[in-house]
Amino acid sequence: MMKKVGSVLLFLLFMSQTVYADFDIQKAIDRAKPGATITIPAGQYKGNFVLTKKITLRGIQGTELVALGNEPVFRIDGGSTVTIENMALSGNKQAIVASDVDGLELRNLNIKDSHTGVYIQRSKNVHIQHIEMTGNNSHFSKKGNGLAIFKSEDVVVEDTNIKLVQDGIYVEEVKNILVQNNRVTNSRYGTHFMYSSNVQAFHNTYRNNVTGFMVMMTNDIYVKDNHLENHNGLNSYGMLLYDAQQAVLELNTIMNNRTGVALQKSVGITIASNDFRMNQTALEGIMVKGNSVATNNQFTGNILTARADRQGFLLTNNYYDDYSGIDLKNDGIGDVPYVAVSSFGQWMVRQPVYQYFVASPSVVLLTSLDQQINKTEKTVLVDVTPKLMTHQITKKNETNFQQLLIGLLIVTTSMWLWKRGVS
Amino acid sequence: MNSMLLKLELKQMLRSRWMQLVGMLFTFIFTAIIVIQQMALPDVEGFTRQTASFLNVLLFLLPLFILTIGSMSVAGDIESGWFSLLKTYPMTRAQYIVGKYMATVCAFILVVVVAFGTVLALGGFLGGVRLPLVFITLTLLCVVIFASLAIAIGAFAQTRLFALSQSLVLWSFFLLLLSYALMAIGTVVAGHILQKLTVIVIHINPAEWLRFGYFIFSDQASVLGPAFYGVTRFYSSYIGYVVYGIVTFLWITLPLLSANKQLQKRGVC
Amino acid sequence: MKRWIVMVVISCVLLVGCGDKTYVPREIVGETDVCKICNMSIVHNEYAGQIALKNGDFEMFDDLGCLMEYIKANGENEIGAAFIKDANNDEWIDVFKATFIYNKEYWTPMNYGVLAFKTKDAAVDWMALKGEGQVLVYQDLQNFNWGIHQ
Repeated sequence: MMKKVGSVLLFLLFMSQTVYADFDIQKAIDRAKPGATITIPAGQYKGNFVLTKKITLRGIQGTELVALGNEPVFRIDGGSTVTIENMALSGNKQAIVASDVDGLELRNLNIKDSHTGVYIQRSKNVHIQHIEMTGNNSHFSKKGNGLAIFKSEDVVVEDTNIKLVQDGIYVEEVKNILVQNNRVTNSRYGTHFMYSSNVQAFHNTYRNNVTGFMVMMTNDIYVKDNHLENHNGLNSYGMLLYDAQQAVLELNTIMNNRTGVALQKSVGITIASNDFRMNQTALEGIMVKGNSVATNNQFTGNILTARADRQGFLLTNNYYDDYSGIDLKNDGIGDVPYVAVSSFGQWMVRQPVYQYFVASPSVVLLTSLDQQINKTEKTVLVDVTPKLMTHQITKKNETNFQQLLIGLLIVTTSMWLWKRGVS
Repeated sequence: MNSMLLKLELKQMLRSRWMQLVGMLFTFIFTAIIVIQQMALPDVEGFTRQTASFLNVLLFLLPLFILTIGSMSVAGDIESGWFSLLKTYPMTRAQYIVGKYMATVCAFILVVVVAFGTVLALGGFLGGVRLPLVFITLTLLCVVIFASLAIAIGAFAQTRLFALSQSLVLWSFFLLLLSYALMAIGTVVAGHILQKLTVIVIHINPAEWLRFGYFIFSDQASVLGPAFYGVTRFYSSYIGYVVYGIVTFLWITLPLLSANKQLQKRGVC
Repeated sequence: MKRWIVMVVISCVLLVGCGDKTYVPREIVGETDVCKICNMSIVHNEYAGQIALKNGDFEMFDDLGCLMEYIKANGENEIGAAFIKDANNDEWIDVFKATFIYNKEYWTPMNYGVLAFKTKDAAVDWMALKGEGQVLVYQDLQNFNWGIHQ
């Protein structure tokens, strides 16, 4: 009896897929009046669909669209106010391609098995929200980007979750873009800005990518409250600004990266109130110009606080956990300068092979000598007003009794052995 | 015979004031640095200043103590005529060397165990400390390699003082001078030459060999930089592991063999 | 110890001696190679460039523009040879002898919009298919305004 019911259920389930898949999406789109809303029933649909007018496409739980061939699932050409929401998409090359759209909204989409997730060009007023995308495990050069946006204006990307792609969010020649609450992991770059302006990035979490933020030839940048963690590859950075102008990076947590933040050929960069923790190198500057400054940051547990070429950049009012000076005047500022400059750091900038020696015994000794010698020099990478600890993160240390007991046991046993060996 | 000699040597070594002092000093410094770092910094996987200082304390202190004490104990035997006395017993030169080596290794393993135990106890009291297996293995490797070198230095030295100074020279050479020389060469030669020289130095400098081993076996080879990608990838393969084992084995046996030869040549019998 | 020093000296001499004077482009290593100038990892191999320095080192670039920037910053004295990928067939060609075409609509990794071809004919053929551009030679690149799109 149960078997019979089971097979009937199975049959229904199978039927439901095929039955709903008979719904002709393209026909519905073509028939719809501008501004109409089309609800696509659950089921799997195969095909390539073209949108050219004002329309809303809404899926429900279980709506899944699969592209045929190399054409995308949705190609949106021109038109205004196009909304696509609540569905799963897979396209071989791209899931969605949108060109020349004014008012594009993409919401609650789940994209898989696609080279590139969403490709947008020459569009305006774009709002992308809640996109889930997972790529594959092949090398970055064989994969596409999660979201790629070219030559557009007024774009918001938020609450996306992107994994295993080339660049999570690739932005090229875009004016006015806000990227917030996104999460990109195990990809090449978390977010890659090129030739863009008026760029804002808030509350994003990027982990285990090659580089968190890659910002190139972009100006007017505001990066705040982001978490950039575990970028530990051979050429990794938490954030790299190349040829960037006028950027403010503040209140970010930059933790456990090969290089925390690197500035190259950049102008007018303010790095304020960030938390740099446990990076191999916290800050790097090469050919930095025009009033670039790192201030009020907290440097804890980094192997190398800062390295730069001769040009350097300004360090002022930061807290350094390896600062050894004292504050006799009791004004919260250390009485002797903090010296971040080290010969090793400079060599490493010039010749990458030197990285082999990072934190090796010889270099540790050399660096502490450097700090003694350079104390009198008022050169670059010297903070003359180092801050002393203001607010310590107090974590409760609960005694680990198991470990304590094992430790004591080992000590007493070995002591007893020693004693016995002597007598 | 051999085990009796081992016991005798071990007893002598553990009894010496030097050794006890070193044991205390090592435990104290090691514990202080580890616990301070542990308390000050959040717990993070990967290569951090904490692991770096762990590694450096190990590489700085342990070889220094092993080389000086090990070599002085051999040189002292010869200087004081104890070795000649031992030769009157039915015992071969090789037996003496192996016995001495084993005694040194055992004594220092005991020191290291005391230090690790203290770190565990104090760390546990303050909220838990991590002592990765790679570190423990590396410490043991450090002891077995440098004890062998110490015996060789002792065999070459005429007096205890000479042994001491030779150990210091060799220590500074391995830990500091070789790296500085390499860095200095690096400022004039091309990057690919510096890279190749560094690879050579990794193999001919036991301190670098251990450091390199740490990065390989803790899966953090990327710390060494892209220039060493090929080398680290090789050593991360199974053949690489075998080669690592062979080179390590050579670092243990070659100094002992040369000590044997030297004692024979000097005919201190 | 003497043995080691002799060994090091010999290997030094060997390593320097090995650098022969014909410069051959090397393979791109996806895991480690990044552009010397802009630090982008090289994923679009078909646009990559490289310079073989006289001392035997190689510098890799993700885009022709970065390669030219390196030459501008460091001069040509140390350069043994410079190579760029042919836009037609993904093969290394000599930068100094190549023909270039520019159009801001041509995409390259840094979007500098300059492509390289082995011969002028190849460039002309390519443009007939993919759209007209401005034909340039190496000398034009030296004064080229990289990254500025009017």
